[in-house]
Amino acid sequence: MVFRKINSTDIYENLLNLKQITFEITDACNLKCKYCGYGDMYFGYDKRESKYMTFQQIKLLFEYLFVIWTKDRPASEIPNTYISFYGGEPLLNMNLIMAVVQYLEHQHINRNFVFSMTTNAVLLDRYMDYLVAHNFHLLISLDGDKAAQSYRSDISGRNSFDKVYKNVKILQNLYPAFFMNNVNFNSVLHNRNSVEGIMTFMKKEFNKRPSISELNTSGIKPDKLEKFEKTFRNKMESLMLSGNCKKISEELFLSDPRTHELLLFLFQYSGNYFKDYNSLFIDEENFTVTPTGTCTPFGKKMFVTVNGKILQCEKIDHSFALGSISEEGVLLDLNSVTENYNYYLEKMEVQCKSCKRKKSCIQCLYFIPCIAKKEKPVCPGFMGDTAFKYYAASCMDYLKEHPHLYAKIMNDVIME
Amino acid sequence: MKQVLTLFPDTFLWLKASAGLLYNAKTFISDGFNNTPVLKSLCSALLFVDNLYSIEIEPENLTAEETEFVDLIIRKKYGFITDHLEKAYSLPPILSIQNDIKKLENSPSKSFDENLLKYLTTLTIYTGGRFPGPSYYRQTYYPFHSESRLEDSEILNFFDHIHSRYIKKINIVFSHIESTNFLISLSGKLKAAAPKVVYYCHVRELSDNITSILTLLDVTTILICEYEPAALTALRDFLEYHKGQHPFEFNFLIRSQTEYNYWEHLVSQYEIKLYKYIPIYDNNYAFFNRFVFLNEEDITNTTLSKRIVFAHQAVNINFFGELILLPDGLVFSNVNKPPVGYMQDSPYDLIKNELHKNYAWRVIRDQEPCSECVYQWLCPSPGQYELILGKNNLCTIK
Repeated sequence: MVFRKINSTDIYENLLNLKQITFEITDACNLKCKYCGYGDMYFGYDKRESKYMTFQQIKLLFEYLFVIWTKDRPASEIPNTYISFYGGEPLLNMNLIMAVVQYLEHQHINRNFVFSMTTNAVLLDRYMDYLVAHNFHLLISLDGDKAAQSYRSDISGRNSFDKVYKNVKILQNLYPAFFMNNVNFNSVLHNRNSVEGIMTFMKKEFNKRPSISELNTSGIKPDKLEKFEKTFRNKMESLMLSGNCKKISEELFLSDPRTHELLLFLFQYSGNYFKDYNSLFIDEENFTVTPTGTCTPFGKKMFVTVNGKILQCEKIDHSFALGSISEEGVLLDLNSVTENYNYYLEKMEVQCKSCKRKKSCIQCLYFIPCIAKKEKPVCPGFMGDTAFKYYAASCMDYLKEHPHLYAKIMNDVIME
Repeated sequence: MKQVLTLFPDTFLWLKASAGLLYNAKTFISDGFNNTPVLKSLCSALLFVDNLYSIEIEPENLTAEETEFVDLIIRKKYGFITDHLEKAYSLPPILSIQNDIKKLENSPSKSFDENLLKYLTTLTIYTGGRFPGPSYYRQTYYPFHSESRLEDSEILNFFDHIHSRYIKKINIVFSHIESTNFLISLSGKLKAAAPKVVYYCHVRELSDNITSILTLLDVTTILICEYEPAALTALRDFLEYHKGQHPFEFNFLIRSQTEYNYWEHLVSQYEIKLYKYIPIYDNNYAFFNRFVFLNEEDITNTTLSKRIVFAHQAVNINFFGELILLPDGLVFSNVNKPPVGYMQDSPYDLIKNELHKNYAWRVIRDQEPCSECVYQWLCPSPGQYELILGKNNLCTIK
């Protein structure tokens, strides 16, 4: 296994094969969720000013990408590129969504655009016909039943459950096939719900298995730590407290953190996993990886904020913007993006080399404290010999308790 | 007392009708055994995936045959035995390829077509032109005889058309070399397009002018050396002139032991370092049977890592990733099979055709008699000789 830095060609290739662009089309929201990552519990994002992205901003970005997409040949004949609308609440900027959809549907470009959206569903009743007509993929935020949804309140403090539930039911009844194929749910776990409660509710009401996420654990304001700790629930702990933990774990499969950890362990340490046929031709000693578990810029997606900042993901601090869209056009210097990224990698390289978990690292460098500062950053995911032995043993113990997972993971799983 | 027998994760255990084989891909040791009903039962339990390569045994209740087998496993380090049940598990070598074609074809969320272009890593172009002689191009890189030849503009157009960032190597196999301009104009453009460019020239085509041009170009030149008078004279002249410093590499074609002896003498006499011996089938079955076919000892002496064994199970390591253009404009994944398309077709279509039809890239030893043999995955991937000889195996075992 050889560490390598990235070069601007890698980033260019990522742009050429770009899988997803997520636009924060507004920072306005019609809900005021208590735990919101853009709320008063967190820092690390641009001030929320109820701004709305313009069509011109988006058009400039596409014109920049069209040059790349028409100049070189992508790895797939007709690549799928997800165009994702994000907020705030994206349905508040529906005119822009419609303009973008119309614009892309009239481009003669060798791409298959797939539209998607993360929404709180408050305005879903107004726009569902359009979303269905254009085959949107929806990720609806719903934390469970009324009590579970109680942190997701509107501006006046009213629980949004009744409105959201009613809208989702209308969608389910009017467009059952669309609902089955294109709609998923995300539930945030906190101290007013549980893994079991969420799973039961979603199964009973919508016949769905939601993704369940924990509260964002980075960027918490020091004076809000107490509030955070009171609200936060660990997914694993909640799962273990379930009355029927085993059954729920089976249903969750890779959404069970232990099974997901096992997958990472098996894929990286069994010696039996290969990404593609080409990987079979490379000796493990010669296999090159970039240190840390960070995606290379635009390797998975591109995120554009309402202020025109270009980032590699919506989860990371806005101060790590890689470029921007201004009136003059897209400013994205691939050499400077490369230099910055490699600078961070260099800062971590010594720790990465001695880390026993380097092969299955999931640590994003943008979440390592002090990574952009002069001080020496310390990786929170670092594992020495003892920690790694414990980690490996816990994965194998879990496998021994659930031996059927070995064949299932090795034979059936296809990672996105 | 109950104990647990566990195989190491680098140990392969293969069972066929009447035979079995243990192979440790770390120590490269292998042992065959008779797949008797008693051992079959024990091995089947070990191979049941959910058992994680482990079975409970009571040594005092084992038959003599089982005891001997368990002793073999421990003695030759194919596995271990322990009293501690909690330590008894291992990861059987199940190959998992994330973007496996069959997996993708059955997936509702992923497409078979994704990232296809990454698989095309080598392009081979036969320029064609006059080169009367045998059709050895069906076995190895060798000049292709045709009345017309591809012009350099056609080659470059083809390359522009099929070009991708993932092509790592371009082979150009020349027939008769009429002009050196051809060599020069191609090399500059091809070098900019792929990290490695290899020119294959028959030694008979060498002239002082061609040699000096090839020496100056930033490409690898491989001389195809054939045991026939004109070629031998040309080769001797070349070697005398470049004594002690050979700018090129050599492929020595071998059809008989006499030829082998001759090349071996030449290699030693002129201290040639970069060379390969390439057996050629030309109605010389006895030679092949004696010197090319593998016997059991050859196979058990192989030192294959787990990765290479997996590669044998999934792809053809001789052919994977290569497309070949012949002078008539047809494109092949294997020149002994039907074409996968024309030079005008898109690279995606050419790759898709090959992946669907599987003429070469994923041709593995899954046909009889290999599929009935315990050495199935230790043997090299099938090559051209099997097709030329019309038999699926190239060994003396079955």
